Amino acid sequence: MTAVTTLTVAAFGVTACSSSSGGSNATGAVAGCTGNSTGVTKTGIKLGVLTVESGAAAQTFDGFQQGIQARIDAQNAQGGVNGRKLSIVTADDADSGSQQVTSGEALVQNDGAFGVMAGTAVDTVFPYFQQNDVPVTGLATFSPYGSDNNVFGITGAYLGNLTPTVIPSYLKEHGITSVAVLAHDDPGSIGTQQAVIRAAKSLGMTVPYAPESIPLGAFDATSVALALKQSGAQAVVAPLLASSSVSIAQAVKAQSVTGLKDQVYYSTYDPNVLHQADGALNGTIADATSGAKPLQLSDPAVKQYLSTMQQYGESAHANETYAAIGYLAAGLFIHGLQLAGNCLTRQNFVTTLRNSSGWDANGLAYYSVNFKPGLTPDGNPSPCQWFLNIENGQFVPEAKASCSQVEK
Amino acid sequence: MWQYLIAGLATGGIYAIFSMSIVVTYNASRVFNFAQAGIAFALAYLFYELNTVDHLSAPVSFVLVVLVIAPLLGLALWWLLLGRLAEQPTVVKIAATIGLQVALSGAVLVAFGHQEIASVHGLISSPRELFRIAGVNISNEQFLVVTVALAIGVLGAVILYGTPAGLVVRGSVDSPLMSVLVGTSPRRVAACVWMAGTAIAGIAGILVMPQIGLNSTDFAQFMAASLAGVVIGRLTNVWLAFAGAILVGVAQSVIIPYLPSTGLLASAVQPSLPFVFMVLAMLFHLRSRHVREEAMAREVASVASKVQQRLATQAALLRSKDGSWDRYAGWVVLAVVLVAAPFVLSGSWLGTVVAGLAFAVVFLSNRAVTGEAGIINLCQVTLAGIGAVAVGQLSTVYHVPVLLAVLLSAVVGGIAGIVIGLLCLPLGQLYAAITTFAIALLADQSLFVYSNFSNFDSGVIVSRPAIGSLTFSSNVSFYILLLVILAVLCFLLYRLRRSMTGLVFASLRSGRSRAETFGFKINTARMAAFVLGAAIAALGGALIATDQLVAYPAQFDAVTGLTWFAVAVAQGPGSMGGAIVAGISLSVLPQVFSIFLPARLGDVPTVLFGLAAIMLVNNPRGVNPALRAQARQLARLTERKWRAGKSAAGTGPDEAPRAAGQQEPTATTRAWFR
Repeated sequence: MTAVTTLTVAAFGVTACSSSSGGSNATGAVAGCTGNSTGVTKTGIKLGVLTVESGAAAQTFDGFQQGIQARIDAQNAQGGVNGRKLSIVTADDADSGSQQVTSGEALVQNDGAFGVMAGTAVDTVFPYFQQNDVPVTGLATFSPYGSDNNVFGITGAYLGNLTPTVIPSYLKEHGITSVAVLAHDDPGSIGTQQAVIRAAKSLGMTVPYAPESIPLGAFDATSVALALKQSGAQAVVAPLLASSSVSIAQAVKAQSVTGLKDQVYYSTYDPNVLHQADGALNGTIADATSGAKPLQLSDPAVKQYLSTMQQYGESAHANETYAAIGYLAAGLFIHGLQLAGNCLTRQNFVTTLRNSSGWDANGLAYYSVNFKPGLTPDGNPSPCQWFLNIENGQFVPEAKASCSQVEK
Repeated sequence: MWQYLIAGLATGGIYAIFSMSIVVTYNASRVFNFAQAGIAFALAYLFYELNTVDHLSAPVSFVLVVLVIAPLLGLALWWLLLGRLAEQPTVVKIAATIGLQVALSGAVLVAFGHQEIASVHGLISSPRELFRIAGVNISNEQFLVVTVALAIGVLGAVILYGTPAGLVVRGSVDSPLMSVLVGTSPRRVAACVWMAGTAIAGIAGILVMPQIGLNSTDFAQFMAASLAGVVIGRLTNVWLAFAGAILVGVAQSVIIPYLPSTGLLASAVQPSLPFVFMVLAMLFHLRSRHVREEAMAREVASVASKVQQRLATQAALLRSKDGSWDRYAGWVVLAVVLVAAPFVLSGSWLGTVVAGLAFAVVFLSNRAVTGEAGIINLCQVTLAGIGAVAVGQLSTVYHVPVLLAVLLSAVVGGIAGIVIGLLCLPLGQLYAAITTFAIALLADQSLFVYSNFSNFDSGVIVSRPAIGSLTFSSNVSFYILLLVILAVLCFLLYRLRRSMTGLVFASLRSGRSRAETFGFKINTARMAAFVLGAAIAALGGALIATDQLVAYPAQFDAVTGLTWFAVAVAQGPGSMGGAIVAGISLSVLPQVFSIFLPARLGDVPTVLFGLAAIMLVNNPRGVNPALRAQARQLARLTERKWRAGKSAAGTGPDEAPRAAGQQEPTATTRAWFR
C-alpha cells in the first residue's frame, strides 16, 4: 500500500482499524486495560494546562499555572499517584476561540497529555475534548461543565438555567426587600442575572432595575448610578467584570446613592483590584468565586495551601484568584487519578470520577462536590457562596459560607 | 430625564475627545487614522508608568508625554509610515493605519505585560465633586474631559481655518505640488501635523484613562463608538463632530429609563446606539458627492512618488509576457507544500494548517471584493461569523446535513452581502470601510450575543461533514475537503477575472468615469462582486465552525476582523495564493510562538501581522505580487543576458528589436490599483 493510499484510507475511515487511533496500545503503558491511556507511562503521567498567557485578558488568569505547579510538585514529593510522577505541559489559547482549538488539540495530539486542566475565557475546544474522552477539570463557567461526561467542575456543575437562591437569601437576611441586578450585554452575565432575578422574586423580593447593557470594562457609570438611585433598590448584585464593578462602585459613591445597603460585586475578590480601586470598593461585598475558602481565614486547609504555594516558590501568586482555581483543578485531577487506580485510561478516569461524591480538596473547597448526575448530567451546581465584606481596603470574610438551594 | 441628559454629557465628553483627535488630524493630513486608539493607549500607558510606577508628579508626566514623547513618536511614525501615506491608494492608507493599530496594541502588551489597570488616576490626583446640576454631581475629572474636547475642536478649527499656519497646512494637504511652488515643504508640514496629531491623541488618552481604565480593548471600543461623531461630522466638520459625539453619549444615557427589562432590545439597544447613529448619518450623507466619491483634495497635478513609480513598474512587469511562468511557479510551490503537509506534519500541526485553510477561504473573498471591485470591506469577519452561526443553526437545530448546511451558509452570507452592499456600495472607499466597520461592531453588540446563537457563550456544537459513508472527521480528510473547496473557489475566481464581468472590473479599477463611458453596468457588477465575496466569507466561517466542531460567534468580533484584514491585505488583496499564505500564517504563527517561545512573547505575532500591513506602504500591491514582480524582473534580466550571449555568438535572430506592442515597463503607467 502506498503512502498516499494509506493516508487516504486512514483519512476517510473506510477500514475497521482506522478508528483505533490513540488507543491504549498507542503508548503500551497500561497492559490489560482497554481504553485510551495517552500520556501514561509506567513511571509518569503527562497532564495538559490550557490557559490564557497572552492577549489583553491574560491578567485574569495569572497564577493558574503556578497553582497547578505547586499542587503537582507537592503530590510528586509524596511519590506521585500510584508510583507515577506527574508532569505538566502548558498551552496558551490567547483568549481566542480559534487559537484554543489548535492549542487544545496540540496538548492532546502533539504533547500527548492524558487530560487537561483548563482556565480559560472561551470553550471552543471542549467538543474536541468530548469527542476524544479527554478528562478536563476547571472552574464551571461553561455549559460543558453541565453537559459533557468528561468535564468536571471544581465547584460542581455549570449553573445554566438553574436558579441558585443563595445571594437573594443572603440579602434577605440583611433585611433587603428590593434588589437591582446588573448584567453585561453578554450571555453568561445575563444568564447569571436572570437566575438571581428568578430567585429574588421567588423569595418575595422586588427587582426595580435590571439592565442588561452594562459596558464590558471600565466606563463612566454616572447614568447607572442615577438609575440605581431612582429605582429605590436597597441592594445591587453585579455579575460583572472587576473593572466594570469598580466603575459602578465609584459612581455610586460620587452620586451619593445612599439608599443602597448592600452592593455585591462579582470578581472583586482580588488584592490587585482592591488596591487599584483606591477605596471605591469599601463598604461593598465580594464573593470567593474560586470555590476555595477565603485566604484570610485561619483554617488548616487554607494554611496548607499557603504553605504549599510558599514551599514550591509560588507564594507571590498565592493571593491570585486563579492560583486557587489552578490548585483546586490539579487537586481534582489527582483525585480522579487516584480513583482510577492502576488501570489508568481516560474512560476509566471519567467513569470512576463521575460516580464519585464528597470531594472537597481536603477541606480547602467550601462545598463538597457530588459528580454523579443530578440537576444536570454532570451533577449539581454549588448552592454555596462565601461572601467577604470590604472594610478599609481589607477583605473581611463572613464566618462561614452561605448556602441555600439550587432550583430548576 | 434631565438627570440622564446631564449624566450623558460625561460619556459624550469621552466620545468627543476621541472624535476631535481624529477629525483634527484628518483635516490636517487627509489620512483617516484607525490607529488613533492604539496611539492614545500607548501614550496613556506611558503616563501611567511615569506617574504611578516611577512616581513622577502628574504635571511633569503629562508634559513629558504630551510635549516630548508624543511629538517624537509622531515624528518617528511620520518618518516610518504616516508621511508616506498621503499619495497612497485609499486601501493602503486604511490597511497601514489598521496595521499600526494592531501592531501598537500588541507591542504595548509585549513591552508592559498584561496587567489590566481597572482604575487609575489621571491628571487629577484626587477627583472630587465640582458642582451639581439637576441633581447630578459633576466631578472635576468629567468637567475637564468635556472642556478639553471642546478646546481641541475650537483650537483646531481656528488654527486650520483662521491662521496663516492653517492655510499652509491645508495647502500642503490639498496640493503638495502647488505648495512646493510657493516655497513650502509639504513634508515638513506633514511631519509637524503628525507630531501635533500624536500629542492630541496623548491628551485624549490621558484624560479618558480615569474613566475607562487602561485596557487596549476598551480604548479600541470607545474609539470605535466615537467614530459616530466623526461620521456625523463627515470627517472634517469639527462642530458637527463634537455635537454628534455628545449626542451619542446623551442618547445612550437618556434611553436608560425607557429600555425593556429583558430580551434583545434590553441588552443590545444601548451599546448599539453609536453604530446605529453612524449608519443613519451615512444614509443621510449619501446625497453628498464628497461621501460618494471622496472627491476632496484631488490634485490638479502631481509628481509621481517613488512608490507610485514602483507600483507602475510592478504593474507593467506583471502585464508583460516575459517571465509569466512565475505565476505557475508560485502555484507549483504552494501545491507541493500543501500536498506534502499531511505526510510531513503530525498530530495537531496538521490541524493547525487545516484551521489556516479555513481562514484562507474567508480571505479569498478579498479577491472578489477588494481585488476585483476595489471595495474595502471591514465586516468580512462578520460575514464569516454569519456563516458560522448559519451552519450551527441549520445543522444542529434544524438537522440539515452538515455539508448542505455549509453550502446554505454561503447563501445566507450572500443575502447578508446584498443588504450590506445596498448601504455601502454607493459610498466612496473610505466611507464604505468605516460603514462596514460600524456594521461589524453592530453585529458584535446585537447579532452575535443573541442567546440562541451564542448558547451562553459556549457556541453551538457542529459536526464534521459527511457524504454518505464518507466522513471527514479526521484532520487529514477535512484537509483534503478544504483543498478541494479552495481549488474550486480559485478556479471560479480565476475565470471571473477572465470573463466579461472581469473586464468590467479591470476597466473600473483603471477609472470609474472611464468605465461609465463604456456603458458598463458598474453598480450591478460591484454588487455581484460584493455578494460573491460575502458568500465566500460566510462559507469560510462555516468551515471554521465545522473544523472547530463549534459555531462560536464571539470569535468573529470587529477588532479581530482588523487583524484578519491586516494579515490578508498584506499579502495582496487580489492574490489568491496570498490569501492561502495569509490564512495559514494566521493559524500557524501564533501556534509556533506559543509552543517554542516564552509566554511573554505570545503577543509578538499580533505585532508582526500589524507590521506586515504597514509594509504595504512600500509594496501597495502586497507581498505576493511584489515577489512575482521581482521574479519577472529577474527572469527578464536572465533572458537578456542569454540573448546577449547568443547574439555575441551569432547563433540566432533573437536580438531583433522588441515586437510592436511589447512595451517596456515605464513609470508613466498609472497604477490600476485604486
